[in-house]
Parts: sequence; C-alpha cells; structure tokens
Amino acid sequence: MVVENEAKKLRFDYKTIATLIFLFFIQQDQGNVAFATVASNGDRIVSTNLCIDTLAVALIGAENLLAVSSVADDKKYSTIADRIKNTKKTSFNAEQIYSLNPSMVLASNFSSLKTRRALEKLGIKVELVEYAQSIDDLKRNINQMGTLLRATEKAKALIQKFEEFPAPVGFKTNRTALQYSTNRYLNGENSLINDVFLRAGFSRPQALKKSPGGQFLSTEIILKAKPDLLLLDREQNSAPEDQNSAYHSSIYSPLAGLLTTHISQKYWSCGAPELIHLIKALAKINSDHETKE
Amino acid sequence: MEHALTTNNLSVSVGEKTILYPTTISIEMGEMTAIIGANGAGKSTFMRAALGLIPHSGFSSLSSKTINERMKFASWVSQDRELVWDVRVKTLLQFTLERTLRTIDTSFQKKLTGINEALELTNISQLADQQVNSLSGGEVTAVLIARTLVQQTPIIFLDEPLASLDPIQKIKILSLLRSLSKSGRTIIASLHDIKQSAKYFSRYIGIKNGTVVIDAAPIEAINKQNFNRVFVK
Amino acid sequence: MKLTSAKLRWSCLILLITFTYLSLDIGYIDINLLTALTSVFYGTKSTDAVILWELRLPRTLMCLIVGSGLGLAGAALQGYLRNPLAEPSIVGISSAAALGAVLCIALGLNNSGFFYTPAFALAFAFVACWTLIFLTRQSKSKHNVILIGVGVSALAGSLTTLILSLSDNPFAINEIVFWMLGSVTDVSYSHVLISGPLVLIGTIFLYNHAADLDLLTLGEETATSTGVDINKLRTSILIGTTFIVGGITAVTGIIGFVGLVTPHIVRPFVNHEPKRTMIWTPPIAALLVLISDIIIRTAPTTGEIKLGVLTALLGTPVFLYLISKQRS
Repeated sequence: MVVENEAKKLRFDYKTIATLIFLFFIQQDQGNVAFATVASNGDRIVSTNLCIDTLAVALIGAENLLAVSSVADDKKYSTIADRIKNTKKTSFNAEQIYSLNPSMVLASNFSSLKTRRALEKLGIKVELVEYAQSIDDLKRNINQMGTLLRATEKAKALIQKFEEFPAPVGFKTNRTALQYSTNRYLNGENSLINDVFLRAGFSRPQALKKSPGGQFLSTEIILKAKPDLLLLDREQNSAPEDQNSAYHSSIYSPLAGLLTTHISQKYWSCGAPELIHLIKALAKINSDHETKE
Repeated sequence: MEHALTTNNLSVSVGEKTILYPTTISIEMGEMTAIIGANGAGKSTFMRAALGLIPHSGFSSLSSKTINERMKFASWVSQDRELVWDVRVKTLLQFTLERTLRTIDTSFQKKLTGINEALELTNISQLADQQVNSLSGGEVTAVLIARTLVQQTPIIFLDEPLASLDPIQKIKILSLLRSLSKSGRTIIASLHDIKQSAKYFSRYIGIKNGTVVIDAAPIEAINKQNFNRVFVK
Repeated sequence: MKLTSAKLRWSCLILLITFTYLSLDIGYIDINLLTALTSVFYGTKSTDAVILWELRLPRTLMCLIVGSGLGLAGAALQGYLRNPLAEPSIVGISSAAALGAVLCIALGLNNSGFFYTPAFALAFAFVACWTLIFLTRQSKSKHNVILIGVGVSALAGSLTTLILSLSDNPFAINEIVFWMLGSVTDVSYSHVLISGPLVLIGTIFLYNHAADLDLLTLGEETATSTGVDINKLRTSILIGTTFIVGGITAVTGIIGFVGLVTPHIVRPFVNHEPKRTMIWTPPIAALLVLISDIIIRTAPTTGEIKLGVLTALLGTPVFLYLISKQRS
C-alpha cells in the first residue's frame, strides 16, 4: 500500500516538474529576424561554435552577425535555430570563412588549430572564447565577448542576471542532484551543469564527489548514489512514459526512489544566458519540495 | 679456388639441442655430391650452414665470405616453393640476372649464360612466358635450376630437388644435373631416394642424427650394411 | 596491358595533371582559376588568388605527398612481407604516430608551438620502429614482423583510447577523434615542408631496396643466396616506412587503405613484379587521394567527410573487384 502511494506521488511530481521547467523556458524572448549580416557599426563578425553563436546572438542579435556555425541550424542541438534562419552558415574551414571577408572570427579554444593558423596567415583576426565549465567562466566569456562585439552594456546586463544566484559558500546539507546522459556520461564537479545545480541549491551526492572530470558510469552507481533529483536527457519527441526512453527502466522504478526529469541537453550544454532560466527552475523545485515536507 | 666447399668443425645448435655435430668435410670443384640421410637427420641443416643461410659455429669456406662474394660462387635451389607474386618464368630469371650483372665483374668472365640459354639448358624454353604458379613440381624445379644458371655460379646447392616428383620427372632432373656437372659445375644436393640417383652422383655423404656416418662412392655407400648405418636407427 | 608502353605512361601523367588542376579549381567556393593565377604576376592580391595560393595549392601538394608516400610504403611493405594484406598500419607505425599526436593534443602542447604535434608523432613512430627492429633482429621469419607489428599497433591503439577516456573534456575528445580520422583541410606550406622532406627521406630508403624485393619473391633463403642482406633490408624497409608514415600522420592523422589497396590495383599491370609495383603505386595512389579530397570538398554535407573514410569507401570496391576477378 505504502509503495503504491509513493509511486503515485512520484509520477505526479515528475509531470509537475517537467511542466514547470518547460514553462520557464518558453519565457525566452524572441529576437527579430532581419536579413542584413553586417553589424550596424560595420563589424563583420563570424562565429564558428554553437556556444559562441548563442552568446553572440544574445549580445548583438542574429541580424548583426555575418555568419554562424552550421550546427546552429539544427534544432536538436541549437536553441537559436529559429533566430538565425536568415543568417549565413559556415563550416570551420579557412576557404569558406576567408571568402566572407570577416573583420573578426570567434572560435572555441578546441577548434582546429590548422584552420586557425591558416586564417591568421590570411590576415584574419581569430578570437578564442574558451569553453565554459562554470558560471564564472560563462560570466567571463560574456564579458570578453561584450568587449569584442562592442556590446558592453548588454553584457553587463546579462551578467547581472546571474548575480541572483551566487555560487554557494560553505557546505550545507542540502538536496543532491546529478545529471546523467543517455550514453552513460556523468558530468564531473568541474562542469557547467554541476555549477548550475550548486547555484540552484543542490549539492553533489557524497559518493560521487571525487571526480572533477566526467566519467562513464553504470546505472547501478547512479541508483546507489540516490540523488534527490536526477536530470536526464530528453530525446527528440519521445517521453519516457511511452517506453522510448534510452535509459534503463530501473531509473524510473518506484523502488529506486529517484525524482527524474527530462531536459534536452541543448538547454544546458552551452554556457548561454538561457542557463539562468534553468537555475531558476531548479531552485523552484528545490524550494517547492522543501515546503511540501 | 681448389675446393668448392671446405668445412671445419661446422656445427649447428638450437638452444641446448645439437642438430649438426662438428663436421669437417671437403668437396672438390666439379664433383657431383649427394647428401643422404633420413628425415631430420641434418642434411638440410648441413647445407644451409655450409652456405651461411643459418647461424652456425665452426668454419665454412662459403659462409665466411661476404654476402656479395658468396653469391658469385654458390647458388641455392630451395625446397620451399613459396611464391606469393604470380610472376612469369622469364621475369623470375630476369630478377637474378639483373642482380648478377650488378655484382659480377664481367670483364674476366667468359660469355655469361643469358635467360634464353638457361631455359634451353634446362629444357624449359617453352615455359618462358608462363606464370610460375601454373607449373608442375618438376617444371618449377627446372625453373629454379635455370635461375641458378643465370646467377653464373660454379657451385649449385639443391635442397631435396627430387621431393614430390614422379619417377619420370626425377630422371629428367637427375639428367639435367648430370649434364650441368659435365659442363664443369659443382652439384651438391640433398636426397632421399638413393637407389635411382646412385648412377648420377660420384659421392654420397650420409648423415645420421647430425653426424656424418658415410662418405664414399655410391656403390659402396648403398650396400646393406652402410644403408643401415645411415637410415636405420 | 603493360604500363611500360608509352601510351599508358602518358595517360597516367595526363590523369595526374588533370586532377591536380581540378584540385586547384574545385573547392568549397568557386574561384576563377585564370584570374587567380595571373593576378600574381600583376601584383594584385585578389581573394581568389589568396585562396588558390595559400589554401588550395598546399592542400593539393599535401594530397600528392600523402598519396605517393602511403602508396609507396604499402607497396614496399607488401613486397617485403610477401603479404598482400600488409599496409603501413599493420606494423603499428601509424598507430604509434597517432598516439604521439593525441598525447600532444591532450597535454595541450599543440597550442604552445607549431612543431610539437609533428615532433611527438614522429618520435613515437620511431619508438615503434626501433621496437620492431629490436624485437625481430634474431628471428628469420617474416611473420614475426607482422605479429610484433600487430602487438605494437594494439598497444598504441589502447593507449590512445586510454588518453581519450581519461580526458574530462568533451571538446578535446572531439578534436582528437576527428584528428585521428585523417584530414588535409587547411594545411599550409609549413605542413608541406614538414611532411615533404620526411617522405622524401623515407622514399630514398625504400627505393634503395626495390630490387631486393624482386629477389625476395622466392623466399628469404633464396634471396640471401642471391646476395640480399635480409637484416639490412628489414631495417631499411622499417626505417623508410617510419619516415613516410610518421611524416604524414604527424600532419594529417591516420589515412588508411591507400597503402593497402593501390598496390593491388597496380599489380595486374606490372606482372606482379614487386619493384615495378613500387614504381607505379605512388602516382596511382596520389590520384586516389586527389580524387577523394576533391569529392570531400564538393560533397554537400554539413559535417566534413574525413579523408581516411573516403579513401576506404572508394578503394575498397575496386580492391574487392580486383580480388574476385583474380580468383576466377
């Protein structure tokens, strides 16, 4: 009897959470989609990495970008696919980029070194925006790009939003949360999603604190760690209820006692301003659960 | 050189096991010698050591020469018939001829044996353009012998040249070897079949368990007593 | 059909010239080749000219180096090992070179200087080469080279996977994996100047022993009796292959199949002679790589197909067809 009630409670909670988070996400404002690609101040900016594209669009809008990366078009991975519909797309190779005649190229520190050198040889400035592994990194990136794109005011405003959720100081016994991918990858302590959890008031389960880097773990270990909240991937259009989940069924078992929610990776894999919405949503879950108990 | 081959305490060991005990032997130029013995007695080991194809202790007049010097004096007909590339007979001989012409000092040589001549001498002119892989066992043996002729060496070593040949082919090869010997070449071959070959060879060296037990003319070597010494345990 | 006839020699040359021209003309964007060429003489630097001289020409040269180098190494290894399945990666040298480069990328050293990645790759390639020479010096059997090579390759491969799995950074993993798949995109003259001389040195080592490979046709014993020093031969073949494969892998990553397939395409035309195979494989392999790279540039895909993938896709059907034709 007790088990059944628990099960009912969990399913209700899951749906609520999913709905709440979804609602928070559609609060994003839609930028206007214009055709001009040269920035109003004459800058010709080419962005070559999805995460950087997302920041650039947030800072100066798609209409002021000369080109973005080709993967930005793909709704599966990109949160800005609609906004860059009329923007040129480019792959990261010197020929294509050079022919666009950019004044500045933004690239990730992990982009092809050969292409970067080729571009530099052709006299094109390549600015590296490092991959963000924490909210502080993200703020730094927004700051850097604000300066590069001459949008310092907007940058300050975006950074300000994150001040509402500062990094936690000291250790508190709070709820725990983990993010677990369909390919069994668990992001480490030095990861963006972990920082998002921390700022939303969740901490990392004690058992899994040891790894700064990510690792591939079996479902067993996740179950054992018993996080209060488990953040899972959301595939294209499938929901776990209709047996399309790529996760092991034990994750959903009432006996495991895990609170799970499915959110597409595209909302948190990049350090983008939209991350603030995720932090807010997670913080709400945290406080909601506190009041319930 | 007076001797075709001289060995002094030539021996071969693999780890603890001795395959060939110290052997001292001398073979003259122009002789047609057969190394006889049971399987695994050490015939091939002796020949390989003598030619320096395998590591050994002791002295061998051929093995002590440098690789390039040695190839001018002695050539080898292998029992191993591996041929990965499906080349033609003519081409196979071509390879050796090109190599020979590069190392040999032609000014002192009498007329060299060319490819066509080598094929004629071995009676396989008609096979010149055929792929070696399509030939019968006896024909391949003839090709390998023709190759040694193109190498222009006075000494020819043959490792079990009659193995897996039918009686007719055997006689053909034996006759060929005799005619080569008659024209001045030194033939050293390892054999199983001693009765048929007796008429062709002038000397039999019998090896048993790594030791030379017989060294005599064939007639003497194949009497019952000696036969047992060589072949029976 | 004999390739020695002037007609076929000329057609090989014409094909090479044609595809070299196409490689310069075709790319991600359209350029006017004529104006690009002539603008150099007028001193004006148009976009087209820059693309041609700074991007397409080095890339084309790199394709020629990669093709001819890997083709030659493949032909030499198949000739030496008397094994039609041999190719540069079977002796573990390309895996070792890749391991060196991957280690360099994982340590972040590739950002410190241009020469780090090629240096690491070459160093590891030579470690593998030395290991092979050292472990096979006593044995006579050609199988030992293959067996030890497979071992070296497996070790290098697993170490590479270890590095990948210890990396906590998904982007670094991405970069490493794509690097390993082989590419000549955006190479510069510096890359050509690294690979070119190394491939040239390797070529000299290998061609020095081309005739020996002919003599090896009847096996090592017969070859030794014809004046071939097997130990010297093995050492030279391994060192030559290391220079070539190390020099290429250091810049482009692993490009497979070219060395395996091209000798088989060439052999029916040269009567299966090992030396002549070594002479005709480089130009045909260069053609294969050029054609593959041109296809890559024109393929309408968002992600770029890697060169190693396409050489396999193109080469394998030809290879299978030839094998089946020979069997029947």
